[in-house]
Amino acid sequence: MATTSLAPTRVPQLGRLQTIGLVAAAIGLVLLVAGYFIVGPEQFFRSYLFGFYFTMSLPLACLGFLMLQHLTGGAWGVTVRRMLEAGALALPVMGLLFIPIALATYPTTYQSLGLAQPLYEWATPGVIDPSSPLFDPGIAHKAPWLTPTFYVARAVIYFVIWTSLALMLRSWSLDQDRTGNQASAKRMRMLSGIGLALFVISVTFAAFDWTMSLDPHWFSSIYGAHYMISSGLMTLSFLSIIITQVRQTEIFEEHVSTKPIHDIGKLMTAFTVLWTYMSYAQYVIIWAGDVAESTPWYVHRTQGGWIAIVPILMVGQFFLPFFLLISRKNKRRLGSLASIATLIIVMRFIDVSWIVLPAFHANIAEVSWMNLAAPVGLVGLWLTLFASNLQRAALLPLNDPNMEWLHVGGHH
Amino acid sequence: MQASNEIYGVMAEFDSPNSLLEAAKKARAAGYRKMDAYSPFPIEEVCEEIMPEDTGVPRIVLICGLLGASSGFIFQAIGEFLDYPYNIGGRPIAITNWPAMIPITFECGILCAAFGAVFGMLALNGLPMPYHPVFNVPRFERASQDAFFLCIESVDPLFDRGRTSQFLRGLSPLQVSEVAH
Repeated sequence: MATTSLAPTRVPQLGRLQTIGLVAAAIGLVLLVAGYFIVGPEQFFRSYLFGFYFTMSLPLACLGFLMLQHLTGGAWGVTVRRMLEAGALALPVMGLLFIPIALATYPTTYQSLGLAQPLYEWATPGVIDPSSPLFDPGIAHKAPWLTPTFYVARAVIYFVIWTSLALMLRSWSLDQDRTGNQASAKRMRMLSGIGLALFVISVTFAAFDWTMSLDPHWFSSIYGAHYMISSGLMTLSFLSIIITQVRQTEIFEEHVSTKPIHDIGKLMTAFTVLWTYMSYAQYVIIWAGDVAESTPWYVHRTQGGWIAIVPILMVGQFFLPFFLLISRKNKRRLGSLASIATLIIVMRFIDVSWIVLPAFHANIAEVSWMNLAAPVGLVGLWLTLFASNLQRAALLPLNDPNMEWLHVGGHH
Repeated sequence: MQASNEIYGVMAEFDSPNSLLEAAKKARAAGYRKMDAYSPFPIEEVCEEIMPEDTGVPRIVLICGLLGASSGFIFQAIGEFLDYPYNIGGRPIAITNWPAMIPITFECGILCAAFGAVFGMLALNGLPMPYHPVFNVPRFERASQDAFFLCIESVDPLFDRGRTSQFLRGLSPLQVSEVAH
């Protein structure tokens, strides 16, 4: 095992990726800002929230998988660890990008942004005041949780947790690169155990806060888990595409065989099934219960043309990827895996649209073009950060004891 | 080419998983397909070299899974819509009731796929097998302790008693022996 200090790996494709991300960020965000003046501030913040929620899938799932692979080990883990670190390291920036959402929710600031109403219905002044004509007892019942101050404070707590985990895991991992210090591996494992528990709780509540509360009367306890699993599926797909870009590097040629790629393919299969399970479980419980307080969410998503998305998701997010991914050949051939991954990422976008956008647009025809500009811009920004972070360290953590997983018989 | 069925095959013993893997790779590159490896623990990379392109098991599992899932669904449909239509909580007595039928459909699919995997595997590999010629090789019992074996079987079209032994000797094994039937 190498214990020498490792230098960052130069990959021209990553430089190109950084430029692509930057261009996408510029185009998307300029269009979004233009939309603020053309379409209006209301649509700007709605699209921004949608884009932010969609983009957050990537750094969050990177952090989750990073901790998971520290705990489980495995060939796939060391293969993608540097990518996971690079993706999660964007979390502090993502925290700053939350500020517009906080301002659009807060009662003393939303008006100065040009909004007539706060971004969330529950933040509207008067909805929890029994003497107001806007009074809504359903929201008043949830008032201890859904207040602007607590909402913003929780977001700060989430980002503090995620940022500290990402920064600590990255700095210990780089320390291992420099010194070959074997104690780092143990420290990272210990932190990941605690971190993963905090992660699951915080992401669940973040999903509740950010998009489930757009319909403040509705609730689903599986909503946060659905977000985590979906994000995991999208991130695994993203990783398999990134591997096509770095496969030709010397360090990958030497250490990475077909096995870790096959493993990522297996994980994608499992997460495809898990996505289906989460989506179905949420639906069947509400459908079978048939209770007036939980069915409207699905009614909104099957009326006004939104029903058209349902068969697309059934086929495109379950049947097609599942039957393609159960083939061993498709999982082992990186080209096929990356094509399936592209389909999955497109479907992720459609699914998140179907989950979030009906809260703003009762009819699918009303969906604004800005809902495309925001995710393009924000994902582009994240991609730039990802590619730049990935080039700052060696592409594989060669000093890690888990590197043994990549070699014959090492996994016993 | 000599008559191949005089012996079961030729077996070489190796001292490490890496040399076994090297040998398996070379045997595959030389065109041998009917071979098997024996080691104290599973070595995935070796499996990839010695495994046939298509074991037949995946297809059996897929067919069993699909048959299981569809029969699970059809059984429920017959019961609910034809034989005993019954109003349960006002839910439809029609195909629009499908969400309620998914758990059983899924379970039946998994059950049949698992049966297909286990019994299909047993049918194709011939287990349980009370007698196997490879145990005639000296020291073979060490395959479950610390030795690594590669056996090229006489059913392989390229098999030749002399030349295959020669080939295996060239892979720097600890020993090469013929395996009697």
